[in-house]
Amino acid sequence: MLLAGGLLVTGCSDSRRPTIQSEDYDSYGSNKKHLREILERRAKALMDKDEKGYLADLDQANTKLVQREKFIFDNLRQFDLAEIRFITDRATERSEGEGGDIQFRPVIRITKLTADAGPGDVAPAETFLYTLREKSGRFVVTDIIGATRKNYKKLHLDGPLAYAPWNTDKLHVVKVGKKVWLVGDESVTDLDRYAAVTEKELRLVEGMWGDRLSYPGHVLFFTRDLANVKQWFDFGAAENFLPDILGFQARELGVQKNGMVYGNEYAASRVVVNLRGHQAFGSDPALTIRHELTHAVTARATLTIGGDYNPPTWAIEGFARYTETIGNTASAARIRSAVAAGVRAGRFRGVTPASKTFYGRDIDFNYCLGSTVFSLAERLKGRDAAVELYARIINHPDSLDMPFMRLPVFDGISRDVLGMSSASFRSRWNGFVRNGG
Amino acid sequence: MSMTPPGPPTGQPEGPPPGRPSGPPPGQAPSAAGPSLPGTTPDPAPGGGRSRRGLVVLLVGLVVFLAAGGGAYALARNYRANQMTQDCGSSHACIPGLKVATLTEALKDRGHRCVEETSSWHCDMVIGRVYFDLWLQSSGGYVYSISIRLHRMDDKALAGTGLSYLSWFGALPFRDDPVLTKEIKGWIAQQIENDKDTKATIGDYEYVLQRPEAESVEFSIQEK
Amino acid sequence: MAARPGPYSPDGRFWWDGTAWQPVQPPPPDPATGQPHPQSHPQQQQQPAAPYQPPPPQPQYGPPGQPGFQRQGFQQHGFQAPPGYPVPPGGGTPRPPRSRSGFVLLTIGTAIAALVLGGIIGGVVGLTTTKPKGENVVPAFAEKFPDADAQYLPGVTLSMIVDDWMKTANKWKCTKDPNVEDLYSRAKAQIKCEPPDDRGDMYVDIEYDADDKIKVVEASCWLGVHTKACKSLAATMADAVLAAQPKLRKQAQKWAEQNSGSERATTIGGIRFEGNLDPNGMQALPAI
Repeated sequence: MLLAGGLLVTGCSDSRRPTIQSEDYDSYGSNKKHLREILERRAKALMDKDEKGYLADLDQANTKLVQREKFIFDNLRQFDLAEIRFITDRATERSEGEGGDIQFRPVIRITKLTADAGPGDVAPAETFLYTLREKSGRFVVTDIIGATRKNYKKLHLDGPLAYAPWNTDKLHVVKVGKKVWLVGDESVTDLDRYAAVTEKELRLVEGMWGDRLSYPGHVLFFTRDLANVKQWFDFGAAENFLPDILGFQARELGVQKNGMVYGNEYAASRVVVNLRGHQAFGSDPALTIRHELTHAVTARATLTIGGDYNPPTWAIEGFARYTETIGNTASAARIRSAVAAGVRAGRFRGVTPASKTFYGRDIDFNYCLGSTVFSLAERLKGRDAAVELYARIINHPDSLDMPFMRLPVFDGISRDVLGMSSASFRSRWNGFVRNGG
Repeated sequence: MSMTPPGPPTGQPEGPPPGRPSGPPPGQAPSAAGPSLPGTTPDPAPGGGRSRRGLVVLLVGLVVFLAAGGGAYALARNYRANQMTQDCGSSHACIPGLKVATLTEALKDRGHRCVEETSSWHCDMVIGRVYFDLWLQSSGGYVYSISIRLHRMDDKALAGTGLSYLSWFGALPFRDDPVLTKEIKGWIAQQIENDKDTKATIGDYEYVLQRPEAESVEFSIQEK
Repeated sequence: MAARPGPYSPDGRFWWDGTAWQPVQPPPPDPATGQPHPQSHPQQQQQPAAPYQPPPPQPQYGPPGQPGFQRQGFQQHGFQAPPGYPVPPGGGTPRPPRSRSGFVLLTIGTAIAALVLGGIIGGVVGLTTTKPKGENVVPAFAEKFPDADAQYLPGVTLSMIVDDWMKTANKWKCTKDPNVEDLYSRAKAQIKCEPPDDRGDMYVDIEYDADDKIKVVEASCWLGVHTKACKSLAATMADAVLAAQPKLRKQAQKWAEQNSGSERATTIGGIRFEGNLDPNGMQALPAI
């Protein structure tokens, strides 16, 4: 029997081919994959303007989170989104607490509007901490925390901050023409009023800038709420924050494919206009819009190497102030008188204001003094030369110990653009300023 | 006494009960053979019958021995030959027949760099930006675990060279079986395409294929 | 011998009544089940065909410490065949039961021993002389399985890059860089080329194992991603590495110029071109 059995088994041995029994496999290493899948669905839903899909992977029991994400969705869907994509390459995973929470950070979301551009696929982004938990057999998002200036160190959220207004306020967006988006918070009910003026000012600035490097479009946020002036883009925490500021422009660095910040070119520009300030000072928002749009239009061509090496502030602010004089004699006269007053008060020491103290005590004089460099260039060689002078200066970093106009690099620029040595230009400029611009 | 309990005969009469059978069966001498008890001398059949019986016993024993031996031998051979793993010491089960040195030599011939570490081999290769990373755990000169990582490999490369690389290792435990080899390759291709983290039992082995990052793959084979 | 009667023969088929061997009959079938059921139907013991047969005085005869012996006795004594049962089973010729059963026993015992012994020996021999299926050979490598040649740029030689492109066409200076330990490509040698005026804003690196085994050609440019100089450097590099595939040169050149300021990649003629941003430039790598 044994013999028979043995022979039988031997004879049948060829039929013993194993089958492949495959199943989905979940291990610790799979958690990030679950996150990726969730993020891919959220990104797609946002691009498709599919609210249900965008909220589907949230923990529905967390009504606060669902509500917040719902209004963020309502905000973002009003913009023209060029790309929404999550980068998790740098995200690390950590189990948190007893409830099975898994935290991932930094989770980077490319939030690229059609107004934005970077070299290649570099795009503006926001950094988040995502918390996932397994609930009845599937992973859900139980919390999302955006990086802010306050929390990013503590939460190790290394990446661009999530401080754009769409994260904190209910917004309404008005698209003007093909490349301008006006955005108002709840304090702004007359957004349409600024549509025509913004278009007009953008035409002027872009006409001046020509085909130099710029962005496809521009986004301007309007508010009458001082708290939002402070909160948006964390401007309240900035060195040059002033409560009565009329507006500011935020330059945003983008991220590379791997989620690392690309420091050599701003990938987006955002303008904030403080309508309350204008009411208080009785000033014309048109000038502020032009000023900030000048920053915005020229920001992409402005040198950045991601650190303190920025072009001289007097050039950046001075050129924007200089544009306020174009076709506006009243504004030009006010600037001249401010310069003259400053000179009389002994604030002029023969050099352009230092970047470090630019927004300090003599802020208004500094703006106006800066603008005289370009007014003089225009007087000497025409407006195009003034613009070119600016375009060349913002390609170079300021010097910390020497006025920019004394640097050898400025001599080259001056000869190229103005046809004179920097010494010769400096002496003319000195006389120009002392004569009241 | 109506029934006999299974236990000791406590309630039974001690003395010889009445109605005892009267005599031996016909033709049976009471003295011919007593019960075979230790110390007694049996009185067996006559001498001729005795040796014939011995021969029969011997013959039966031999036949049974050979049959059992042959059968067990065939069974054992068959069991061994169909084993999907091979014992390779330290309570590991290895891929049968394939020496780790043979495997690493073949990879070296193919241009891969192989370095021996403590009871393991590390083989790798760089092509452009892609990194092929292989760890072979070995015992007794044989391989009991294969772990592969492919780094910075996009989907297109993964579907070509990546699949070719993974399925070659995937087939090693069943390298003599072209049908299963093909099935394993198909399975890997399917999982890559589905972008799934997956685990499969194939015979005595456990295969795990994971995508921890978008451009990296981890693949392992070991005894279940 | 007779003085020490035992109750049953070793095979259990006879019992010693003190004077003679009596054959032991199997119990009659249970009326309900048809199975022998000796102990649960007391009335059977009273049926006329099987009168009560008192047990022999067992305790004093049974081997001590063998409960089985007693149990066996109890099971069978109640079903004793009627006295005078003529022939013990097993054959027409009456013969001493012990001798016959001894033979059977011996045969069975021998068979069992042979079975066990044969099984063990056969099994051990089978296990030790056989190996699991599997030769000590690896399967053939598929064509796409990565091999040494795949590490090199197809059709590219050192002189194509260093002599034709760098030195002759651009008068660049090329020097061998001995620091090759940290190269990702693991190339054995590296040559760095730079423009003649030492500006330090452009480089071309070639990583290679031999003159016709080039692993990487990389152009780097610090003049700005939007500058013509950087774009042109990338474009001429793409052109140079495809010198052996003239039909593809223009396509590669165009792609490189357009994508030098990005992180995009493409494959042309078995060569993967990959744009870099930090530092800005373009890499030519073997495609897989």
